[in-house]
Amino acid sequence: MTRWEQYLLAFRCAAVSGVFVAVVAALLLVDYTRRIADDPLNAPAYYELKQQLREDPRSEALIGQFRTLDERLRTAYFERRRFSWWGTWLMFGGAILCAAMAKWAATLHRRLPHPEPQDSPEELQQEDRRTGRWAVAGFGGLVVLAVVGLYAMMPSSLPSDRQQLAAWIGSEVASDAPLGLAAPAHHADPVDDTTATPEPPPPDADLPPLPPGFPSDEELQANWPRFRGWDGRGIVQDRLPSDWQIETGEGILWKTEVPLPGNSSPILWEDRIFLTGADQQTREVFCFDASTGQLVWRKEVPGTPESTAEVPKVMEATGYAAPTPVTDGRRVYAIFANGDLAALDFEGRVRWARSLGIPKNSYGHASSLAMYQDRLIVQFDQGIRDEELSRLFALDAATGRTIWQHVRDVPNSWSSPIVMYVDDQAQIITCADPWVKANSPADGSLLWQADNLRGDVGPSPVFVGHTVYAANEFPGVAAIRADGQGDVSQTHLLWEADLGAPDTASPLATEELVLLVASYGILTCYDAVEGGDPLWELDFDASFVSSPTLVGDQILLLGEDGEFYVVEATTEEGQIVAENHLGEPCVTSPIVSNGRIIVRGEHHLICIGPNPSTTP
Amino acid sequence: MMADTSSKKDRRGFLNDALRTTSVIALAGAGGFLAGRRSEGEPMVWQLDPDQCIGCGHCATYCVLDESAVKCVNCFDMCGFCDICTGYFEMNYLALDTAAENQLCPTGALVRKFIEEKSGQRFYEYTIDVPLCIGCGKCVIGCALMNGSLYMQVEHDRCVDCNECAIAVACPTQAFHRIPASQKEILKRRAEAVLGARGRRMMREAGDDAGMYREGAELLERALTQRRWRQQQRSASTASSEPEGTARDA
Amino acid sequence: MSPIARASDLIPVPDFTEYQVPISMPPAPDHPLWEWFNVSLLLVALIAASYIALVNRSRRAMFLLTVAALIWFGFLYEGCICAIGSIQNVVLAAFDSSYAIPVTVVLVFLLPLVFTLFFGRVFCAAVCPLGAIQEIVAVRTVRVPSWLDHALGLFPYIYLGLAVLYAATGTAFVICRYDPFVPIFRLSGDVNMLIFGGALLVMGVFVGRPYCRYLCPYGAILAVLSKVSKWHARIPPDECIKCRLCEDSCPYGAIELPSTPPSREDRPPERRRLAAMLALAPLLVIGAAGLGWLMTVPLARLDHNVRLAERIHAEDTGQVEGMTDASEAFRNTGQPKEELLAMVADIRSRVRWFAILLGAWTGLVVAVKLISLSVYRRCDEYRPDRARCVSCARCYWYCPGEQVRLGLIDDVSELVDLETLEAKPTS
Repeated sequence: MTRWEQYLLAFRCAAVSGVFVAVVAALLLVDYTRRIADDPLNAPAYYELKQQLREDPRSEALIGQFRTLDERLRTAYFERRRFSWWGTWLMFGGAILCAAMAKWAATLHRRLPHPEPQDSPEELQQEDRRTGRWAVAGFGGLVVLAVVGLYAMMPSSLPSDRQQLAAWIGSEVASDAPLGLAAPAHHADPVDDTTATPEPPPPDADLPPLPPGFPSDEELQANWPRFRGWDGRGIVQDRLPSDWQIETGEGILWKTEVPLPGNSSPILWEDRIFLTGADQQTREVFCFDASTGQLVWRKEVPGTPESTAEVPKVMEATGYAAPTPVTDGRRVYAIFANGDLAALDFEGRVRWARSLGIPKNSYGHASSLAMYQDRLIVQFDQGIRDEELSRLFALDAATGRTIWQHVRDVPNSWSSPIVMYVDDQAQIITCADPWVKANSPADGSLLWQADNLRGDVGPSPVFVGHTVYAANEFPGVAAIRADGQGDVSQTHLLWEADLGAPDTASPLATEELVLLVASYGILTCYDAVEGGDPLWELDFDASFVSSPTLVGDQILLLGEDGEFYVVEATTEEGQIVAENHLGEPCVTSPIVSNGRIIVRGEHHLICIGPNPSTTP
Repeated sequence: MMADTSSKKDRRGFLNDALRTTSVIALAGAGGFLAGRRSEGEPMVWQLDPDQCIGCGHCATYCVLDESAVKCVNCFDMCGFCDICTGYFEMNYLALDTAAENQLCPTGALVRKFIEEKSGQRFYEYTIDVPLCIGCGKCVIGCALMNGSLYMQVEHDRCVDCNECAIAVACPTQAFHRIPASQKEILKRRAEAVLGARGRRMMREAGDDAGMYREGAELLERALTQRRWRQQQRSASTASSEPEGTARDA
Repeated sequence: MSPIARASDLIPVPDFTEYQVPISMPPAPDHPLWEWFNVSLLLVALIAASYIALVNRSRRAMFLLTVAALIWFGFLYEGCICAIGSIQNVVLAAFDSSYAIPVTVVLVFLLPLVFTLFFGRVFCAAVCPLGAIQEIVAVRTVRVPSWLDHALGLFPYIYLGLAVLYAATGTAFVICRYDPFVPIFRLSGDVNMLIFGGALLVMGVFVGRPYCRYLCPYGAILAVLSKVSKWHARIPPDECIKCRLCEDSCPYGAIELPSTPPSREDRPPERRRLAAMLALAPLLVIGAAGLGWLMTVPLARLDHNVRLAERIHAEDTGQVEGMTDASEAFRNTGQPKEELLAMVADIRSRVRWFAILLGAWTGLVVAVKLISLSVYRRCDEYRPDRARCVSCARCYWYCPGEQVRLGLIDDVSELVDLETLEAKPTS
């Protein structure tokens, strides 16, 4: 083969393979556009037939047709994938051949230099520089044009500057709402603000007057006036009964059926136990005798036109009576899922009732009530954060009138408020996404807030000394010093941890330990001062919704299916010292008083304890 | 004249030498700075955070590979082994069987296998036929209605580790992160908790079974790795927002 | 009690009698040593390319190395991570302390730079897979008009500035996003980029290395460094006889012709022009910085959050119907819009500074180019323009001196008429 023949061969091979590559590339492109246009996995025929099938589910013919179509489409999908795979490799092979042949041809037919007479190099260079400068100038001009064009074509609907943006947000929302830019403008509304929350009618003058004032701490400590004990921390100096069995009734003082369902926990004042229950239509408060378990009275809480207009949407697991009532030894106060709030005296007479409006709450309102002296504290979080519907109320316990209300920049939450003291200054601690907040019970003003919570906040805060422990599934547990002012997120956070974070049960904190009960059955113990890694963890074959209670030095845990555990905890380890079961599901927190446990199961109120006649 | 040119040349040579030396020193400095800064010498790989994933289906379409490197996985310890699996069945299925009209998965990549019947409940195991899975996320959305045990992950035996992941660019929730290659995965927070618990349980119950103890320890380490990563993410995000915070106060 | 039944809504793992609940394990990525292996191969290839370009001077060896690099770094290693893209990793690591850059990536970035400082752009010659694929297809190149070459040659610097801006703000890796050849190495990828890559390759048959010359941002860095390289490829092995035989041999138009500066009587206008250009330079830089400032809003739009905020705002004001996945997901998080807007303000203020710098950089690039086009330097021989030459070793063969060195001819006079310095016709 002569050189020329070789060249011709190489050139033709290159040309043919080049054409081949072009054809395959075109085919692949066509296939690709087809794949975009009608994706077999999203074929309209498929959905059409499926729709027909839904309308006529019994038709064998339709089913057969559908299955054939489905198989055809799936096969088509994978075949197309194979098609492009093969196409790509064919193209690749062709391209290699083409490049190799072209190279060979180029080598065989190398263009040899044959310099022609030229102008002087100097002139050439000058010419090159001159045209070069103009070209560069032209390039610069094009860049300027492109910039101006882009600038003109791409205006933003949002202000570009930070200050402008801040001002613009202000005008956009047209309110003094917190912007995330300026310092949050929290404020307590004036007393006469009655938007959406009509004041209660004046109390009935015919009813006998109740003792004025409010109970002392000693009185409160002797009772169980609210969710999780007298101060809401779930800690009581008492002892737990042992040797009881629900099946045989051994060690069970009494067991009474609760007439209406509810997830609220019982409260206790002297010899009376109060409880709430509700279904879609009725909302009731029950009073039981603590020594016999007998239902003393039940009273339906009257609805208001605005709260009974519709049934609030709640999740079954939350129910219509999830918040635990509170008492001051004079009245018992109860709130329900539809925002109805009522105060009843110990004889079951309604002293006042009002509606806060049906809350926009995705699971159902569940925040329990709290008291500060003669003020009823209501955490009423609802909606999404932007809507600013959430409120913290302080109501006059005697009349139900609003003393103050505080606008909360939080979405709906399910956590309950507690009252703690820092250097004799009382603080109402509340939890919601994202803030742990402290408000003054005097006027509702915001004392401090810490950005420590995310998502749906269920667990309630607790405190030890001057430290608040707030926990939630996300991001975990945080220990915050309560003596700050303003946003203390960066300054007063003592520690945080995320392992074993609870989603519903509130934490239990002592001077030494912080215990978290995760719903998936893990009790996690942290050093209360240091935080850090968990000291230990304890696995349970149970799911926990109920908050833990520290009784003496024993921790009482109630599982969702009625599992009953007594745990002894030290910094070294946690040990299950007793196990039992209630015989029915339980999502509430118990009362522990005088060696007795009073707990609400799914259906019954159960009192566990030694018979007073046998144990003097 | 000659002397003039050569001195010019010398000057140029000297200038070049100086510039070169400066460049070498600068490069060495930059290299040292970068190497010493944070690097563990470990390659980074892309992974998606399933807690951020909304199952939009971009993983199936945006991957540079024809068959996406993102596939579904099942965390069995979060799975309810339900008879009526919302990840497996169409919303309005006709029957609880494996027929095409009832399945949610467009390619039939989710495999349903009967395990046992207990007190009237039938339990099924759901596994993923990896070659069939196209990463469309339909089952992930379905399962999210219940336990959310099905979730998407980048499979690193397939992923080509693009310097900028095309799916990450398209992801509507910015769920893609660069993670150290040895970490391999990002677990859901809940998966992290249940796997950690299982690891602890295995270690406790292992007794003399060294294999089981090791397996448990590995599982626990896997969960702890996740926790460390999430903590790191959090501290990184607060660190980056700190200067903004001060600017805001000012 | 706050009974939010979140966990209890989950169906527990049943208590199986025999069945062991499996644990799904993620597949393992490549072993870390793999990256180190590639870095060592990169080093070997750089040494080989330097040796071939400066000592061995064999075009054939260089071509084989090019093919090997294309196969290994291109098709087998699949192009990632490459030195070009590593610019962005390095910049991101410099500006974002939370990004841990692997040592291997730092080396991939630095090794070619160091080699360039000593041996010229040997990395481009036969190591970079992007260069290699273009080198191989460059079979019938034509000369690009030099004015066009001057103008388009500025673009890589601007592209480099853009890439640095986006990497430093953590917005995007644009070099990787618009990389035309990596999809070809993977044989799959974004169709637009595949078409772009294919088009560049077809174009590359006639216009040598279009990506390297008119786009590659790493090439821009190497071009600058190459100017001060210790050694560099030379066309004649010893002295240049100015026979002009190599004049057309470079497919990339990188050969400088010998010339002497304009004679003394022509100097004043040249000097005036140079002075004008020098005076113009600061104005150009400042003006371009201003233009960069104008670009803040368009540039920031590449950021996900900025686009999200604009979308959300458009939805809220009724400019668009419906929601995108991103806006719906954002609304579901319940994060207030104000936070997002504040984030946009932050992003924009960050981008603003870089945009001003980018503008100034662009102005500087244009100014320096204009100045360099107004300076005349003496050049005594045919030699490669250090900035543009990629040391591909093509031109050597054309030099009669090289033919003598190779023993193909005994004396240059066999090819060149030394008396008149006219090339003899060759066969």
